[in-house]
Amino acid sequence: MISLKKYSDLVRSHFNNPQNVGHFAESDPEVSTGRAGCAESGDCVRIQVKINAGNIEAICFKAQGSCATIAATSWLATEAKNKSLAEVLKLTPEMVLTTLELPAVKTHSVLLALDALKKACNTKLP
Amino acid sequence: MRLPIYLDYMATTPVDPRVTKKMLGFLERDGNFGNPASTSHSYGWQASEAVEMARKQVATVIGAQADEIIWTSGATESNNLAIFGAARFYARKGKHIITAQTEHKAVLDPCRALQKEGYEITYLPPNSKGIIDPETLAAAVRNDTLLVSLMQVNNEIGVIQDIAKYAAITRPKGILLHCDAAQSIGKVTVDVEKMGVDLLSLSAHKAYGPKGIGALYVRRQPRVHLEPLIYGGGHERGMRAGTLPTHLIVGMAEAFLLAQAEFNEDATRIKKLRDSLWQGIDQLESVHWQGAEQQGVANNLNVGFDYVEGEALLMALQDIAVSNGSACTSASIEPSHVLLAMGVPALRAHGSLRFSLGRFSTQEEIAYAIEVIQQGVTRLRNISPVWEERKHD
Repeated sequence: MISLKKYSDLVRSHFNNPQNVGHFAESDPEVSTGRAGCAESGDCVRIQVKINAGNIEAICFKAQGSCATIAATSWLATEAKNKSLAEVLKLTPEMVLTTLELPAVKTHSVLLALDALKKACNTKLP
Repeated sequence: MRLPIYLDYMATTPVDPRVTKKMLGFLERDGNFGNPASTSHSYGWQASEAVEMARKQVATVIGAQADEIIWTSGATESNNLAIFGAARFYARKGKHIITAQTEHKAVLDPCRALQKEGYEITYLPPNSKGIIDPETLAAAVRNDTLLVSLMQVNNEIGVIQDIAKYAAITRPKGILLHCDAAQSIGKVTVDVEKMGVDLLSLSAHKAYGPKGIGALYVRRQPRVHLEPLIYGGGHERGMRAGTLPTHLIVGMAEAFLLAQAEFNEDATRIKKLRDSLWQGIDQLESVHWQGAEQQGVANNLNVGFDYVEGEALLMALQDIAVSNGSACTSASIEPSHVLLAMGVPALRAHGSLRFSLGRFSTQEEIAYAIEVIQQGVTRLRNISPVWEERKHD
């Protein structure tokens, strides 16, 4: 565990006030769901998107895990909203780590959030 | 009310103002600042008198003789001196040491280091409450066992071990028994004769004394020998060289005397507060008191929170100062080795916090802490997909 005081203001902001938290009914044909991690490992991310004309029109997530996992997922959900699928698929772990000023030891949190997002998007690729 | 509310008294305690007052007389020019090892003038004699008085006082608190107390920099050094010192001095007798999986790193790490020197270490498993069954110890003892090291009060779960039961196994076989009693003073009775220990580690800062000072009890009858770790002047019966910090030593003695005098009052009041904290936390679903409720110290509460991760929980509870397990392991990402040894599932161990109360905890603080915990846990569970899906099951 890294010292909590080392987390950046952006991580703290997303952790304390996560953006786009929610749940879309999976029965809705417009909804695509991506999951990563599992309850057994302690970190688990679920991202859901609604795509219209190749753009992410709506997005929501739920996450259980460390501060970094919650903050990275919230940041990615904000970043992906109203973006095209092509743009979203260009997001890299390095980009997230750098923007959130996360240490390398938190790479797994970022990979988990990105994995869930890309799974949600991939299922809607033409 | 000062925020964050301090609920980490097992990590360290603030110095009691009465202790500070005592220490201040041993620092400045007008005070008793001399080097206790200076034998040629009154500055040294007076400092030496203060050190010897403190030695007697600390010895009295634990039922020992003054000349059985060796000053150290703290319980970590005491544990190192006891384990390395005994292992190296008695190496001819055998090279087998027994300890427990739930010990503090200040015992486990010296044992691991000795493994590299060719010693064999047996790490006893606890039961699900964190207790080491004496029969488990008896089964592990061998002809070449030279030392058993078992703690009295566990620093993470607060469980109290009945050390006398272990002594009943080690003493007839001539095996040395060391006890890490860093957490004991002011929380349980420490009596080296009744416990039957040969070596016992003490710390001042866990009992409202200053950091940087501790002691090792080394039995004289029958005499226990140790190979020193620090050379350079032959202080402390040749077992620990170095100029004695008079102000810290008198601070430790004062803290121990206060802890002894106020033991019952502190324990009764703190237990009431601790129980009210648990009642508040227990209103949440899926929370678990970890440790032996009936065989634990009054001030500690280790709780496993399902469906939240420990680091996120600490961040969500920034208005209270608590830790996830031992402070010394917070640099690593692994869940508590103590909880894992007790058979707590890794996921729950990750979501566990240690709340420890103390002399200065108040009802107002506990009421506020309950509010913060309930809100924080609920907030994290509300954004957990696992919690949501469980609720829908």
